[in-house]
Amino acid sequence: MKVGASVTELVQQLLNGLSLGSIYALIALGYTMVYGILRLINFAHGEVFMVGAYVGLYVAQWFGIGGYEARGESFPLVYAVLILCAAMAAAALLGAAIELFAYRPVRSAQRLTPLITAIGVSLFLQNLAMLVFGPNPRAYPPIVRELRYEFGGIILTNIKLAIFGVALALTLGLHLMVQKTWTGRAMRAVSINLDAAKLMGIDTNRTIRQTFAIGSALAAAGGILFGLDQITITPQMGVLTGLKAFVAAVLGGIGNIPGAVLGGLLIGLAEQLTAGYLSPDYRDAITFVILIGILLLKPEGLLGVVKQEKV
Amino acid sequence: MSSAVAAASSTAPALEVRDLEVTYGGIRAVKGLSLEVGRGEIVTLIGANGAGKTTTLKSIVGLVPQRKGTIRIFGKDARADPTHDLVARGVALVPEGRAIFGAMTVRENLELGSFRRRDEGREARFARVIELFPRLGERLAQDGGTLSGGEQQMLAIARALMSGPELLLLDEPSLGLAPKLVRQIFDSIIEIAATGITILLVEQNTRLALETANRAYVLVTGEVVLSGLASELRDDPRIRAAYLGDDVRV
Repeated sequence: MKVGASVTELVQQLLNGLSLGSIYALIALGYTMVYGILRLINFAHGEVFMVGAYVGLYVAQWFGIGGYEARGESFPLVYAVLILCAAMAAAALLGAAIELFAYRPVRSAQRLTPLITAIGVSLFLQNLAMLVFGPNPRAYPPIVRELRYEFGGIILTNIKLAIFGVALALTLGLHLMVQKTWTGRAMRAVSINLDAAKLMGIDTNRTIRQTFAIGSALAAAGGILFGLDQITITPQMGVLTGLKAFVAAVLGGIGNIPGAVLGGLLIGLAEQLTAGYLSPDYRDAITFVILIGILLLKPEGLLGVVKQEKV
Repeated sequence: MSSAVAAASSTAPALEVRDLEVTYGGIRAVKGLSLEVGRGEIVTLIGANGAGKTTTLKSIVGLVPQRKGTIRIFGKDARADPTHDLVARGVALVPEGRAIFGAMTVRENLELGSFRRRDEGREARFARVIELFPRLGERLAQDGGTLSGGEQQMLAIARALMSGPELLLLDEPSLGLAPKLVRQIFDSIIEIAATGITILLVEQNTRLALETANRAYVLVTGEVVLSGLASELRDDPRIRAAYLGDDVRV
């Protein structure tokens, strides 16, 4: 019976870890896509994730979620989907604007300049968020009402399932887009060789803008899922979560899309297992232990390749 | 023929460069260069390493923005156009070092070539480049980076042809290739020109370039020092002098 209980416990931890990890994966995709195309670490990406969560909150209020709660009615699923779409669209615009106004003017400058710009944008957005959204933690509206299912002691909620489902669908959609569409081909070409991409007739500025928009939309989806999962959001939520997702991208091999997904899931699992079996105090620290480990042992990341020589 | 080109003056040369100046990291790499490429011609731009040949080509397609002077392509001003618009207007550059997308398959590389020309003609162009370079047809599913140097050069040329260009700029197609392959590539260039595509060829292999081209310009430290019919320049002793850095202006 003791063994059975510990297996149940382990499965529970793994499920929770995978669910958390899929949120990290969604955010990590944006880091890795932007890095792949510009060799820039977009430190403002965590803030785009945060803004996405807040947009979701405000749109939910606009749909009158308070009223549904008061009446004890469940919030229509259609509205939940619309909230997701609205947050993704708003974040896409924000990401494109950040690229246009902050990064493009310094694109041809030395490497350090865009990096410092990114930190600046991150701080700016955090402080702007405190001003606009207020500095205090906000309860996240239950745009999906939680339902619990139990299978032999393992508890699964529809929210955790929705997190998996949304993350999986968006990741597959991104994969298809990158592999099969002209936009995706252009993104891959730009990430391999910017000048050669121009010679193919690709408007590389447009491709870079699209990359920011798509990565930001994915982060916004992550923001809503995070809000649902963690119940509260704050203007600082993007800092630690953004860093963890960044580590996930590095772990998988920055610039590598499947790597970001793998890294995200692994970081989520590591965090959950550490909290469950070691101590909840170490749940944040484990990510950085992993970062140091990967940088020492395999700096190109799990799925990364050592930079290919140009002929 | 694309409508954009047809709309421009039909008698204008394919390419007209006047007083081109390019400054590259504080150094004037091209100093008042002028050249002209007539429709259907093969013109070669030869000169020693560092003479400014690659810079000139990059400048024509807008990859090097700092420039003075006039660039007209089929009679239309091209100086302010971004590279991707010039590609849509029928200009293609096969860059030095080929710049193959190594992590993409040969087929994907070719498809990218037709990024701005996704019309029905795409399949016909695809069939034509495979006919021109049958070896690419055998390697369609292979990653571009796994090809040999010669095959990569073929792919780079084929990829450029996929945009349906009317003016093809080639930068050092012989670079790093075995003599037998160089011969093959140059035979293909002559074949391409025979289909009516205008060619500006930058080449270090002077003998081969002068055998292939109709006319030639000789570049020394960013300036044209000599030009004329390729057949007449072949035996001109001043060519040799130009490579040794002598002032050969007459």
